[in-house]
Amino acid sequence: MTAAAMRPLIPVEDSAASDAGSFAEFFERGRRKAYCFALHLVGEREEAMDITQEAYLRLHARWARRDPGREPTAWLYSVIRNLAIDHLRRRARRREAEVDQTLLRSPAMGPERTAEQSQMAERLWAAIRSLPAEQREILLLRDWHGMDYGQIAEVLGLSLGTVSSRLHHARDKVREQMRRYL
Amino acid sequence: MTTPSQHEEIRQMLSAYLDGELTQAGAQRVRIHLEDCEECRRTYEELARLQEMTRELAFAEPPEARMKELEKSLSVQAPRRLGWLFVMAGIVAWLIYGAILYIRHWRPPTVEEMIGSAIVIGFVLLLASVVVERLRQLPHDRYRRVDK
Repeated sequence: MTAAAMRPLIPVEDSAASDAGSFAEFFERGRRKAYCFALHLVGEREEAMDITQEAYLRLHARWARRDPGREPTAWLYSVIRNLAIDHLRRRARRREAEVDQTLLRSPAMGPERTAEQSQMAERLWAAIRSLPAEQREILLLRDWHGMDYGQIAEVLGLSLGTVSSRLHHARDKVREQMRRYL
Repeated sequence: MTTPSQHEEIRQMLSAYLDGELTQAGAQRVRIHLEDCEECRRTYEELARLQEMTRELAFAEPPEARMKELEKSLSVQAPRRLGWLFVMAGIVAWLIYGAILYIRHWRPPTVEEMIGSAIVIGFVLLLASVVVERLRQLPHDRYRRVDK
């Protein structure tokens, strides 16, 4: 895709977090997703919780002095990602890092959620897990965490073009694996 | 008529189109192409379906007890920092004031002054021990180099 076809990078104002300036509100609203982001990166629940906790403590310590132009969710995710990378680097010495399949929670079965849908979710998660880490994190940041390209670029320190291109390749691969079920 | 290279170029734009991340002109190009190209239309629909499915994936919930613990810990951070700031500022001010008095009006200290000084010296030593302990732990702090 040509760069000209992409929207220019503009500072993204997060929901209410930067407006309200309330850390408690920011914590309450984002803690589950922040935990899942750490979980997607390290694949271990206990470590994911440690990382989430450390990241929130760091943000809290600097909250009053934060750059008002900086989007708090992207900031939080950057810190989580850096902590996770540090963790994975240490863990790689012990064994190969991988994303645990059991991270996918079995939703309560009900009329709105059939067994077939749960099976599809498992297939989809298997396809996402099989992606290279740099594609997987972009796909999840966009489609699960709901970040736009500007926020993803800020979290990962990438250009908009790279975000778009990696996302395109990630989706292509997932689609290739899933198309017989669609 | 779209050429194969144009078709491929637009196919690569479908993902950004789905996310609403194209310029108005880019989005218009894709829209027009989708009206004519069944293959791209199918791809787009599949991408949209997969995005929807990904959004609905349910992952493990964070341990609620740990989250509550973290919430409590965060709520005391600010007053704790403020408390430390006041303690340190008070001690420094007291020491400076004491030193000035000592220089300007030298005389043997009273019992009250000696007790006060003992408390201040005690506080300073406790503070110093916390700082020293932290400095000792620093090389083993696994997150010390992680910051942004």
